Amino acid sequence: MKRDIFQLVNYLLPKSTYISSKNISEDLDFKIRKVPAILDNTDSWLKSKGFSKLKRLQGKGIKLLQKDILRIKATLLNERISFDFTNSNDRRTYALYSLMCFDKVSHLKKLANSMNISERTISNDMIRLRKQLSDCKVKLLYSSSNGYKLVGDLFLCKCFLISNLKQIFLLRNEKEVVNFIIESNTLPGNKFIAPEKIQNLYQDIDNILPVYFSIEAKITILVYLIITCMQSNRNIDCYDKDNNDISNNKAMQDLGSIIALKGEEETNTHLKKIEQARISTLLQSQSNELLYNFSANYPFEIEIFAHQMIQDMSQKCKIDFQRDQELFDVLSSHLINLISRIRYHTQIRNPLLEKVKRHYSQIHKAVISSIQYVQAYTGNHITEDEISFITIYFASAMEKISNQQSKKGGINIIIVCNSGNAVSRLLQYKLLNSYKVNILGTLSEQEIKTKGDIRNLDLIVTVIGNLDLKLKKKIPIIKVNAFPTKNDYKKLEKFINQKKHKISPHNSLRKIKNGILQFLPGTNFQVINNGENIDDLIQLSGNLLAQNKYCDMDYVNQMVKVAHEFGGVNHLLIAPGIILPHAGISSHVFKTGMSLLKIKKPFNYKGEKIIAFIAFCTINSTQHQGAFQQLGYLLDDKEFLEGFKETENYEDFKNLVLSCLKKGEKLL
Amino acid sequence: MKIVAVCGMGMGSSLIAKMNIDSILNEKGIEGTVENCDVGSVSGHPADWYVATQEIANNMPEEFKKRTIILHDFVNKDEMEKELSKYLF
Repeated sequence: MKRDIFQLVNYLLPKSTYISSKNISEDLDFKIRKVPAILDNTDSWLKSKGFSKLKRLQGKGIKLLQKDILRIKATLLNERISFDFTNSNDRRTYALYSLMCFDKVSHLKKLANSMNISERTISNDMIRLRKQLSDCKVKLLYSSSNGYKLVGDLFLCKCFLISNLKQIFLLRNEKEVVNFIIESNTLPGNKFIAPEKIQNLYQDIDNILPVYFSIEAKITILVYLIITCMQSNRNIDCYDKDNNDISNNKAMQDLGSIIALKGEEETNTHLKKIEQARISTLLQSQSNELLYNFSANYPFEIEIFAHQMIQDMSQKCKIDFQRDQELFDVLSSHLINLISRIRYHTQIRNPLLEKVKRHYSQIHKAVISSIQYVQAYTGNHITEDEISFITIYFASAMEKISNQQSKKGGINIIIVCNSGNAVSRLLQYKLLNSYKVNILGTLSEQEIKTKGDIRNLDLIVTVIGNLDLKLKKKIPIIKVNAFPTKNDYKKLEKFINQKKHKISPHNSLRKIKNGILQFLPGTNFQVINNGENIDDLIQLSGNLLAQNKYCDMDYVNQMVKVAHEFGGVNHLLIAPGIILPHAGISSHVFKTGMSLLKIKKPFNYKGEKIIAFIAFCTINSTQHQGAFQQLGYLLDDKEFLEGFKETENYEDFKNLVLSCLKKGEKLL
Repeated sequence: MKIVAVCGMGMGSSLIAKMNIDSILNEKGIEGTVENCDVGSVSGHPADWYVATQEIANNMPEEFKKRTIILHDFVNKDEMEKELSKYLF
């Protein structure tokens, strides 16, 4: 059955009023000029199945005949969408599907024959496909003797294929996947998996994955798993040896492995180890967009159990799980299923039990003791396999908490990409998992051009070569592969580290009360041409404080004494060439203050070129904190240190301090 | 985790060090408390790690020396982060 007819009939089924062509074109994403042809085709399909034609009313639109609706629904259940080879996207997807899953190498003639389309058209399609695949870093090679062949790491390619298949076969639930497999089995020589196995696989995935995975995500995983098993069955090896997977979510890794093992069981194939990692990569990219659908009307005891468990676990693991609403939702929904599984004695097995126990031994032990409430409620023993699933949820929550803590003050990124959702989503997840970044969005080249300047944007990451955006504000662009290589990571790291250097937590440096300039007025500032004796200079810097009644001369003498306490004044060197003479808190100090003695011609002291003395005295241990926060920032700022060398008077110094502090804030 | 920054008087460079370590921990999302004190009273400050410059470290109580991280500089945050990460994270 043709996809557009299927879509249209499905769309009309629940509608009782007339629907206009415009609405149809908007809601189903059909081109408006194609609608009449689709309506005609639908008419002939309805007729062939023994129904009346669409009811048309001038100026109003169309609708299905009320009396047919139930029977149409029943008929649709047995209908399947098939590839529509008059459509170029379908042809390309079919060719890719075939190359990925059935024939490693395919001749043009064979492809043309199986689609019943001229070789020339197919050849053109393949050129377009080649361009599309270049984003996925996969080469589509052709030789007249061997035919077409894919070369490269096919992981992204597989994601691309899946997103296309989902579009073509409207895969929204497991029934549609079953239909797709039945359809796919009719293609020449493609019979591999029995449709009834699909239901089992889906059930497994549904049981294993936390509830925040949307059905759409689960379908993606299901199709991915099936395709992977097909490839493995046909011995289609599709990965580069260089495995640059950075997967830091252990819980997801485990779930990925479990799913891979279930797939092996159902389809009787053996998957390579790397597949487990790839599935967990996919899982993580899917769970980026959480989808809640909590209308479930479950017994309120469940909520109490979930609550008790979380409270209990928080105490045992000394981690505050209670803030995590998502964990609560996941756990409650898991408990509902768990309790029903316990009642019907269908507890599931976890092939990774041993691994989970090893990795999260503490959490696992804590879960075993926390689950007693549930055990008492059901009156049945809960197997360790089942418990290990809950362990995985808590482990995952723990990692999330530690991730969140490290995400403060990240940099803002936009991803620009042309190859669609599947590719950008992976890149997005990779970036999110590897760095402290916020992804502001994923746009196509066109979108970012029309959108223009985006606020707070720090970096554009793109998979497109020679991206020229002509934005008003120059934003750095980094080109990476959709599945970042080691080199890409290096590039990103370099940028992010530079940026990090600039980001300082002193976000209101200038506004600090009792800042450096309050404690260091013009009277406490002196520039001298040169100096020779370190003690004299410390004395001189202290004199500035004593003269202005910040302290008495005893304090100044103490300063000199303290300077030598640890065998040389090096312990007072606060930054290259800058000495911070001071003594302790005592009755010799009258008020908190700082002085600055600058030496125009640096003098050598034990291999260090001394350029300035910043003496200070304080009445308690806190009053000078704000000033020191500013001082610490300034002395780490190259621009300040450079400027300071040139400073000749207080006015210069003041302006330099203010401008550097201002810059420090702007960088935030 | 508790870290104590130590300097001669416990209010100059150690204060700057304390503020810098605080912000490094914060950026890295590591939980910990940071204090500062003078080398004379350090024995009254039990901690997991001590941070000091070479001269001060030589004067640290013997039992703390193993847990003392020696920094060249208390203002250069990048250097500090590099050095601390060898021990702490």
